[in-house]
Amino acid sequence: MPKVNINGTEIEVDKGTTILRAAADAGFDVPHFCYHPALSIPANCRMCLVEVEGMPKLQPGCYTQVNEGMVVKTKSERVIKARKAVLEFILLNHPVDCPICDQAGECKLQDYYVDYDAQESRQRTDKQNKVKAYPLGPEVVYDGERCILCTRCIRFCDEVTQSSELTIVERGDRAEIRTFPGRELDNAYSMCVVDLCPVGALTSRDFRFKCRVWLLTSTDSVCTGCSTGCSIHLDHFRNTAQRYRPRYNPRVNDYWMCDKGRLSYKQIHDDRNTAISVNGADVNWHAATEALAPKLAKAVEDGGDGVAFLVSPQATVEDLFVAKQFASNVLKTSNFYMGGNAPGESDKFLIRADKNPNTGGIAHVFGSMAALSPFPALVEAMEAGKVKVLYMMGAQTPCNDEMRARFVAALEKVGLFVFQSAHAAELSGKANFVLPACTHAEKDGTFINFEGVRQAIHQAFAPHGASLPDWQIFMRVARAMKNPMSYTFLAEIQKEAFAAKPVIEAEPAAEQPAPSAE
Amino acid sequence: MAEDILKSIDQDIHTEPMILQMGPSHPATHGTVRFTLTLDGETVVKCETEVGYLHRGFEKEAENSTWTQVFPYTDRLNYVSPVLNNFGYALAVEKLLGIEVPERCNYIRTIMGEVSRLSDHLTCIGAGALELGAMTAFLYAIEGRELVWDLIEEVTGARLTVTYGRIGGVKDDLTPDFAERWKATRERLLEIHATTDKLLTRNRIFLDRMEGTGVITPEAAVSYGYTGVTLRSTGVAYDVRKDHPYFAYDKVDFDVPVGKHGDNFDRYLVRMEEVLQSIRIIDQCLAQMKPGPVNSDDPRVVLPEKAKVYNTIESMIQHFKIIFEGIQVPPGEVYSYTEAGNGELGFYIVSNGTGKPWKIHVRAPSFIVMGGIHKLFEGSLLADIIPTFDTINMIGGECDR
Amino acid sequence: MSKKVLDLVQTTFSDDVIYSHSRLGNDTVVVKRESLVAIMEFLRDNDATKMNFLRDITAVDYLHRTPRFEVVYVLYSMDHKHMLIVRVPLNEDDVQIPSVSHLWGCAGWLEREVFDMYGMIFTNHPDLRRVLLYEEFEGHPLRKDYATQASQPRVELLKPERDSVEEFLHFHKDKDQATGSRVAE
Repeated sequence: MPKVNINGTEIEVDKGTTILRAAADAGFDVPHFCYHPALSIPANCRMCLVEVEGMPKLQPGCYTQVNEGMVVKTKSERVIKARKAVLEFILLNHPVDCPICDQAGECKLQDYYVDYDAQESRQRTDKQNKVKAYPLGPEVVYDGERCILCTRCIRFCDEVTQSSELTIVERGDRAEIRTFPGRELDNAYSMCVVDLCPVGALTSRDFRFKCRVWLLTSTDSVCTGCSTGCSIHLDHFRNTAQRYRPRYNPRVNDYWMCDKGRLSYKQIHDDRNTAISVNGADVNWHAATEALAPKLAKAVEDGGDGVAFLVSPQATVEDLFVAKQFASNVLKTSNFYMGGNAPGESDKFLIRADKNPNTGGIAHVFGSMAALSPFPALVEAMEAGKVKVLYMMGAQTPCNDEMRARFVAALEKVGLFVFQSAHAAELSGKANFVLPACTHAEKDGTFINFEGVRQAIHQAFAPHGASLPDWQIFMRVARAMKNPMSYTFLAEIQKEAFAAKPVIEAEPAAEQPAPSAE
Repeated sequence: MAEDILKSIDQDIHTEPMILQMGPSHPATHGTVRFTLTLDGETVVKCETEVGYLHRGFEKEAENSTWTQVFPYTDRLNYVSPVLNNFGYALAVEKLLGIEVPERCNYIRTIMGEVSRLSDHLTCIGAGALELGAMTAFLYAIEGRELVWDLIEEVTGARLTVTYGRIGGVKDDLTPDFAERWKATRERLLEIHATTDKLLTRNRIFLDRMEGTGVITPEAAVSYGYTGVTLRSTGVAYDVRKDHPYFAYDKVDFDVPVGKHGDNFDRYLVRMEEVLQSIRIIDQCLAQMKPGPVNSDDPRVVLPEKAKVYNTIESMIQHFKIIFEGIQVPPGEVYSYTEAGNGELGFYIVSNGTGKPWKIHVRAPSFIVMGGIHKLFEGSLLADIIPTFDTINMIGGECDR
Repeated sequence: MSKKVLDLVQTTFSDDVIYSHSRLGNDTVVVKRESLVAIMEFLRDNDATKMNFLRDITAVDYLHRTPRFEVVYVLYSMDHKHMLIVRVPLNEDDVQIPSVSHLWGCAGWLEREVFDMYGMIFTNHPDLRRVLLYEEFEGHPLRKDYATQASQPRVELLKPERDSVEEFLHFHKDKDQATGSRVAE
């Protein structure tokens, strides 16, 4: 293992490590634009130039590998001068866009200018004008003037999605990023280039001009779009989710996530159940549970066979754990049916056909999927009039439209329909009891993905309206039925839920490894 | 014979101490503070002080704003001389940043600081006279303060909450005709000073109320942390401007007036003399100062010119970063102190290297004086509380923060 | 000049000084809690130091650091014109610290503020009460884990509120309206 001296600090690193990586290990930040740990290294931005003793010219730190006994200076006068010159060149044709630029506030160019340049403009000529607000694809808009041509986006399309839509056209100060003729940037991961872009050249059509980034608060969460469960930053402002960004997690999604998942944040606020209602009348939690308790108690007396419980793989492990206890101990039923989203498209990278984030959680809580009957069986039972009470978690049903229509029609034959869901999905009007639940953005919990990786989600903002986390709703109903459960904190549920059968402990790395990839 | 009888009667009369609540909003105290007085007849036996009626969490607020956003909060500390607070805070942050301000800025800070001190002292003298019933002297002093505030308004754009200080400089240079305006104001101020002097200094009633009341010894004053006029009236010549000069105080010649008895009258006399000294300092500064930049040239700290912000990306980025992320102050802690209107105004600042302060603690002279004010009250008459409380010049905004 | 004080403290109390520095012109010693009073007394009474003036006491909450708190004393000598900052680190679970209120008049008052804002318990303090906030205030607001927007519960009145309208009506019904004096009942 070669030993190198970086700014006077001796450090031993693996063979083949680049100077930039070694410097990061030694605690020195080397600025860089084009380098990204997950992509190939073109060394074209020249921002990471460092001085290596014995080499006549400055070396790109991202590309040069360390040798035994190498002496590197990342803060020498030559390096500082070179960085200033590089930044001055980059800023030469950069438009005065910060006030209208979505990247402002999380822009590498801004950070590096303040950290490494901080000199006034010496330009006396006009700036080069280029294309602005040019749509590269359905989700991404390109601004040529802001672009520093680091080619991260091109390399992403070449290497990660392997769809190769992008290239550079023209030369010199006229160079721009474009799609190849007749194509557009429409792969399933196209919005990752927005995260990759170190400046504001590539912006998301969805997030454009929606919110300034320094107003956002970021909470670590998990995407609920499919059973991959990509780690995300949930950025929110004033109790509203504004966007998802992928969070580095080498066990699950690396640096990436798909566009569909990224845009699924909108579902948090769409079509929400915010009020508790009993047969259409708005009531409070106490009144609702007091009204519900005798009806459920009567159904229990009549025998648990008439009670059907629809479990949602959209709920967290903790919710499911309490749901199972509630159904078996309080409702005395074992008629569990599988809810959740219907399967959809998949690919070989991140997108899974199972569109529920916690199917693994169901298997964990119920032992195996065999404990649950499939959804069509429920519809048939309902149509046959066997279901007297339906307790439904979540608004989604794993079926096609025809089956869904049959299900909605069959609801008429159910004596008591308790609908506990974050979203209304046309079912609230048919329900005897609507119990509003929280979405994953409003509660803490755990998801287990298709590989069995357990990930924590965190509460980003206060629950909307009167909604509560599912497990708390079960607790309330159980208490009203004089059969209370003894949980106070989520941690108690977690302790029990994970005590019986440990899952793969693959908590994502808390911090992104340096050097940062943004 | 009759005296003896009276004496014996006095002894026989059974008295018990009376508890009197004074404040929190007492018409003759200019600050929201409550004294729980134990009285033996008219003599104050015990005084318990309760402050905090104006507490608004200055320090907590400051921890949640950028370094620059703290300035408006400092205005509201001693609101009679906000400029001094601005500069005191700016000086502390500059120490932590390790930057020097240009010479002209130092002169401007000295001048504007002394102008503010004038307003502070005039208010205290005038209000003190008013509370003893001398309405005339009050009107003169307040006229002086109005003139001073006119000057402040012209330079800063506001009369009371000026937010004139900036880290690394001041908001703006003095106005071009400042020297001329000062000349006119100065003349009138001297007249007002002379008139007030005539009205009060040898006024029998005033003397009776002020002389020998609210006495404190130098040892007690130092032990109780008194600073400013309250300390100097006892004969301890401690003035931060003289002992640890900052801004341009080492370049000007001025005296530190001290008293002898540590009573209300000495405090009044020291304030009257300090008004003259302030005028002297301003005169010298105006004569000495040369044209030049008023803000530091450190791009990390000082906002670029607007024309450059709108036209070059470099200055735009710089502006953007300073406004939205705040000035990046290196980690560390510093105690920095200046002489404010009421005494030593200290800032204990801790930075963790980000754009927001980790902690800002204010050593507010008024607050510390209130901790030892029972020393001035106990043993004196109830009526003496009014002049004593006035010459202490407790400012609620500063005391309660 | 006051580097001398720093050296003096370090040599006299070599075991009790954790570390010292004089960055930014602030000579600072960080000392152990057990020896605080002895060091303070020495600083006040020794002729070479003569710190007869206690400028300030405050505390800092370095959240997520061990020890979490630090109490800061700023001392000054009116005679020698030098300054020294004494800091005492405190652990989160034990925020007791000996009071120095017997050494300086203002110390007790300043310690009350630190107690009020940070919840430090000054042992042997003659009168450790809140000073800026009211007695019923819950928590210590300058601790970093006290939320900025946190609200406080309403303080229950000790006695039922006097009905001022009722009193006024009674007053108004007096027969002697000209003087407004209350008729003796």
